[in-house]
Amino acid sequence: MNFETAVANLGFRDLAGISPALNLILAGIAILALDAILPMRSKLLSAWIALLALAGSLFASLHRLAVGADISAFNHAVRMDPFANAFSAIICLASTLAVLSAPKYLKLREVHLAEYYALILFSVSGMVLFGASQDLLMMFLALETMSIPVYCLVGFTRTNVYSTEASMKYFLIGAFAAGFLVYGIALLYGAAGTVRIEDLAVGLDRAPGLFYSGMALLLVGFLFKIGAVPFHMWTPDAYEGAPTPVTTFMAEAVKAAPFGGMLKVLFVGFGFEEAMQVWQPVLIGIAVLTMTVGNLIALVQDDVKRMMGYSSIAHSGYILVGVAAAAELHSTDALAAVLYYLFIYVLMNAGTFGVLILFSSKDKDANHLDDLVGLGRERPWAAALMTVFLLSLTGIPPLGGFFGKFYIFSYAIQAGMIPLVVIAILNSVVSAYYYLKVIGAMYFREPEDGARAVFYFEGYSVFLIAMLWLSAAGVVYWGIQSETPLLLAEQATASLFKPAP
Amino acid sequence: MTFFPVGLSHYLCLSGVLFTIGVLVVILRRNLIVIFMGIELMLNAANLSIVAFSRHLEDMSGHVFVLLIMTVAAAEVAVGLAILIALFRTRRTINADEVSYLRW
Repeated sequence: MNFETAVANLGFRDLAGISPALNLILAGIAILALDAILPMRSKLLSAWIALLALAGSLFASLHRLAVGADISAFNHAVRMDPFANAFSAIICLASTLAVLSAPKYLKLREVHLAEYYALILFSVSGMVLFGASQDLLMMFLALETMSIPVYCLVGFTRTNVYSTEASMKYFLIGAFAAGFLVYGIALLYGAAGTVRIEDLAVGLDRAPGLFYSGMALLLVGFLFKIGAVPFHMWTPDAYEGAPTPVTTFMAEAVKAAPFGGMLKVLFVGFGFEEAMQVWQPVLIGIAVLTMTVGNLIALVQDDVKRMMGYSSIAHSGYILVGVAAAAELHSTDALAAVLYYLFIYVLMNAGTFGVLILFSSKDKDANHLDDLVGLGRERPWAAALMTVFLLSLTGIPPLGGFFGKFYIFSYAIQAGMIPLVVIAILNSVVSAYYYLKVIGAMYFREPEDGARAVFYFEGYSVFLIAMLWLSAAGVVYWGIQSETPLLLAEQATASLFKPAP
Repeated sequence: MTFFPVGLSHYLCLSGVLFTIGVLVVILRRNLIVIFMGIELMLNAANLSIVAFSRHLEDMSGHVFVLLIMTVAAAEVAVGLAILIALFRTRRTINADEVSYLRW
């Protein structure tokens, strides 16, 4: 295709194709414009605009997923297939929950600014395109669109020493990882002569050395983003230092999104036998390290936010077990288990951080274990919700977290990876200790000086309450009714190997 | 008349050296601004090899990639410097070793 026809072909169809992302970008710009015109009224209004835009993208993605739409846009740089739509739906759901949790906390910290919602929307648009990109350059651009706003969001309370420090650390490590990613892309481009993910396999015959080093660097970049050991150092610091609603956003959306691009590159780009024999054992090793290190360090944490940071590292490990099993089995159904896990993970994490936000007051965050002592007696409903989320994170049967782990582990057993599953289950048992420690603090510990603990709902927010109940309902309902999301996920992952339209 | 024919491998070696220097700077230096420069060096090493490959493969798209990567790098460093200023205002230091309230 020559240049003129390439330009002439860009048009309404392309824009309509990426409408779930475009919608978010437009809403973000609208929020910024509104803030300039009506600076006094724009705060809550922009929260509503953000929610509407996210809901629009969520339903558009779900609708496309249900009808199985498969659209290529921008000269095949972007492909909104069911896989991309499924990721887009998960991410929009995660971001909706994160936006719901924000107004109360930001008001208390006196940084309730419209920019917050605009940054979230821009970041989400990058995430939506990340899972949809069909070439490595598009993937890099989407990754940066996703990351740069999050660097700003982590430092959003900019007079707070912890927030700025976390922001700096996250930025440095993120940019460092981007450096590896770009160098990997450069080497793969040299090997294959193209950056289209489907055609990367050509590179192996033409220049195997370049191909493998490019693949390694690209993987390092992705592993940084998902917070796998030994590239996890930023996770606990960024989670602890960031304002809690931002931590919520990071622990769900920013966590789930990199898996979209990673799965696509691994299974479409490097999905052929020779390459798989190289990356699959490496991934198994990293999964074991990630689970074990994450869980062991989480054991000794007293700060719930930091503990959740390590717990999120451990959960990356479980997800990598699913990815390795899918590679072994050559099965897209096993990948569907990974998608289902991400979906449930988003819900249970949102809830846990939501409860922490609920009891954060003007002067301090309720992050420490001691801050939750006596919650069970004083605020039974909040404590019950927190218990549901924590039990789900542990993997206790009727809840979503159990079924997420169950599907992943059963595919791993099918793939004959018994030692790996044993390690993963042992890790789940270890993780029960620190999740139950929080429940123990809420129900069974008395305040040390014998006084009654006091829990105010300072800055009561309907948004936050709605977010807590929605995620709790989701964890329970989609745990019992796990077939429906799993079926959708299977449709989604099946499209990964179909040729683009 | 080429006195010393400079080919793809020379560019790749240079780019590899630049990338390594960039990584070492990020790991070893403690001044945050110097660390930023190390990251920029890593990105530019990648740019150099993309241009070299693009020339070697006679594929023009590589040139476009470089422009896009440079744009992203500029956006990234703009945000990075803004964060640096916010950090300096709260902490009065840009030494990476002194920025360590969050640990374990």
